[in-house]
This record gives sequence, structure tokens and C-alpha cells, in this order.
Amino acid sequence: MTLDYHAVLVFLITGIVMVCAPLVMGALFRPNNPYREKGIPYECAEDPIGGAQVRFDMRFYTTALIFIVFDAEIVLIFPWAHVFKTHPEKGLAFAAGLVFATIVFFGLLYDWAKGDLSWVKTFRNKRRVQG
Amino acid sequence: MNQDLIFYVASNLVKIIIFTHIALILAALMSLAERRVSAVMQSRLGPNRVGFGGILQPIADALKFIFKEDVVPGHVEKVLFVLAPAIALIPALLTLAVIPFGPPLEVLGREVPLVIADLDIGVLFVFAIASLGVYGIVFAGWASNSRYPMLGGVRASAQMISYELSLGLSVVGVFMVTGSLRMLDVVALQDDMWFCFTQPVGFLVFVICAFAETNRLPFDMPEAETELVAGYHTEYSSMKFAMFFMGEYTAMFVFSGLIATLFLGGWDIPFMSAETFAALGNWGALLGFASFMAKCCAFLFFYIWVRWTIPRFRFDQLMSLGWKVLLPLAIANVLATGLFNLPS
Repeated sequence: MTLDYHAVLVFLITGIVMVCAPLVMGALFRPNNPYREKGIPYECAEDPIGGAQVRFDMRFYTTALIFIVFDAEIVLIFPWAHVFKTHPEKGLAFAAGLVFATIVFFGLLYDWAKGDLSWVKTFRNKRRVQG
Repeated sequence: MNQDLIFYVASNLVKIIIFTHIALILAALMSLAERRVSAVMQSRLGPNRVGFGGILQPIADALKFIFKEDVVPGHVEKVLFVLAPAIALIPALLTLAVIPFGPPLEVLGREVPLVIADLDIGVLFVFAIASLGVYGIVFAGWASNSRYPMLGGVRASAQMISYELSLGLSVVGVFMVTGSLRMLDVVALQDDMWFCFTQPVGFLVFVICAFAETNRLPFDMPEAETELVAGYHTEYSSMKFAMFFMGEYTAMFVFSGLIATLFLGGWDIPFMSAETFAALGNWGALLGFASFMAKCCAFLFFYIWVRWTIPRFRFDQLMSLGWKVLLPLAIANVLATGLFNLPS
């Protein structure tokens, strides 16, 4: 079985070579003619004002946080699913899964009620978050 | 070094070279098919001049990409800017390692499974590696230091992580039935009945998430041409630009392969049992390989078909579909699968 992981490693190296080869190969042929207008950020022919790496919307951060919580929970479901078929006490195994899934689902409902899942928050939700 | 080991290494090297080429050539052909099928759907001709009816167009494109100037604007973060296209393509390619392309082939009296790495945790490996692909897009968006790529990159990260949850959960139902994460086991258990019939909800959720994960219409927020110019690859040119496209098409192929393996029976042909394949020997293996590729190609066509059928979602619609519809549906699917598989 470890041999298979070696195969993955070899595959990874092949992939890196196949990606880098065209990138490097082109450097031998392609022209290089930079000038100022080519070097400015593309903003539909407007001269850009300031940099682009600014603070961005808070909602993306909230989404990422919720994702991490749920992803950790879903990872825990995989071992359960793996043994479910061969488990001697099917009813017990199902009950355990049911309890876990219910907890995950209530977590989702909580986020839903808080309004964190809505991209456009309603006024009611907004006031509750502020208050 | 015994003979078995030498044979294993040699056969694996050959497999790696062949499968990588299949993926990359298919990605190239996909770029042509995309334009030709789009053209047919819009009553146009599409590219039909290069080679025999346009079949050599991808080669012409590739040559052009190599000979074009590679503009690296002065305002970018150089290291991440160069790294991003490679990170977008390599994980997509790497996930191919666990997808079985057909029944085992018999070479020199030894059995060669048509899968590069037959890992016990096959599907977890796919999720682990495929989720790295988002880094390529985020790096590209951030390193470009330009407004449109930045917006595209941030959108892409939010979209891909949101749909990854439902993607992961939708296959849990399959594993509860198979009791194994190995791809070959999953295929073997679909001999009688494909999982798209026994797991219709999981299948539906997985397909929708596959569209979102590969940034295809109707979920192509990260590169929405009409609002973000080209999204995260606005500042890219030449071969680096092509890398993003190859990454996208390879990811599409990988997801088609996953759907075929997990839900459409892999290389299985309806009314043909595993014994029939085994009885046919190497011809059976080739037949299985052809069946698998046919399923993949049918699904790749489906990708294009959907692209010209369903208009793009708004970003808030996309997020609420992912979180409020697909995720509860996927959790319900897990529970329903458990309930149906209880001994009565």
C-alpha cells in the first residue's frame, strides 16, 4: 500500500515537470517588450488610484469561519460512514449518526437564524446583530 | 529488487505517462469542443479552418501561447504571481491518480489495474488534493494587485469552500452503502445497480457542486466576463493564462471521472457483469476503458450544454443555494441512506 503513495509522489513530480516545461520552454522564444502602459493594472483604460490589496467585505471572512466549523464536523462523519455497513449494531450506529447530524443541522439553523448565511441581510437581522 | 517490484514500477511509469497525456489531450480537445459546440448551439460555425475541420486548432492555440509575450506587470507580487498558474493545474492533474480508468489489464501474465494509485482512502485523497486548487485562484487574485482579479479571487474562495461542504457530504451516502473509500470497491459494488439510481439526491448535489467547484457556468462568479472582465486571470498572459484554462478543463475531466466512478458505475456497462468483462480478457479491459471514457465525454458535453442553457446566478443566490439548499439536502441524504439501510 505504501508503494501506491510512491506512485502518487512520482505522479506529482511528473505533473510539476509537465507544468513547468511549457512555461520555461516559451521563455526561449517569446519576445520581451515591456513598456509603462503594459505594466499598469487593467482597469478598462482608467488610470488606477491606489493599490488593490485593500480590506474587503467582512462577509467573506464570516463564510470562511462557518466553513471551517462545518468542514471539521463533516470530516468526523467519514469514519462513521466507513464502518456503518459492517457495524454489528446497525440501529445503534444509526442513532449515533442521527444525534451527530442533528447537532450539525442545529448549528446550521443557528447560523441561518443569525443571518450569517444570507449574503444580503434583512434589516431585521441587521438590527439584531447590532443590538 | 525482485521482478514483481520492477514490473510494478515500470507499469506504473507507463500508466502515469499515458494517463497524464489522456488528461492533457482531452483538456486541449475540450477547448476546441467548447467552442465548436457553443457555435452549434448559437447557429455559428466556430473554428473550422486549422487542420481537418478545425481539429488541429488546439495545437495552433498552444503554439501561439508559447510564442506570445509573457507580460509580468510591475505592480504584482512576483513569486505568487508565477506560482499561481502552476498551483491551479497541478492539483487538478494529481487527483487523476486515484480514478480507475477500466478493468485490470493482463500484461506478461501479471494483472495491471488501470489506476495509478489504488489508495484505501481514494475519495478522501481527491477531496484533499482538489481543495488545494482554490489556492491557485486566490493567489492569482491577490498577487495580481489589481481590482478585478482581487474581486474574482475572493469570490472564488468563498464559492469553492461553500460548495466543498456539500460535495463532501453528498458522497457520504455512497460510502455508507459500500463501506469502503477505495475507488475499485465502489466500482465493483455498482455491478448490479448504479449509485445514481440508489442515491439520486447525493448524485444531484454532487453534480451541482461539481459545477461550482470547477467554476463553470451557471456558477462562474470568479471569472464572470460581463462584470469582472476575466476575474482572477485578468493580468495574466501567454502560457500562464493557458495554465489556468488547462487547470479548469483538467478539473472538469477529473470531476466527470469522479461522477462516472462514484455514481455511473465506473467502467460498468448495463447488463454486463464483472464476469463478462473478465471472460473477455484484455478486450474486456479495453471495452471497459471505452465505456468509462464515453461516460466522461458525455458529462463533458453536459458541462457545455448547461453553459448555454442556464444563465449565471447572482452571488447572493449562489451562496444561499450552497448553504441553505444543498447543505441541508446533503445532511438529509446521509440520514435517509442510514434509515433505508437499517435491517427491518
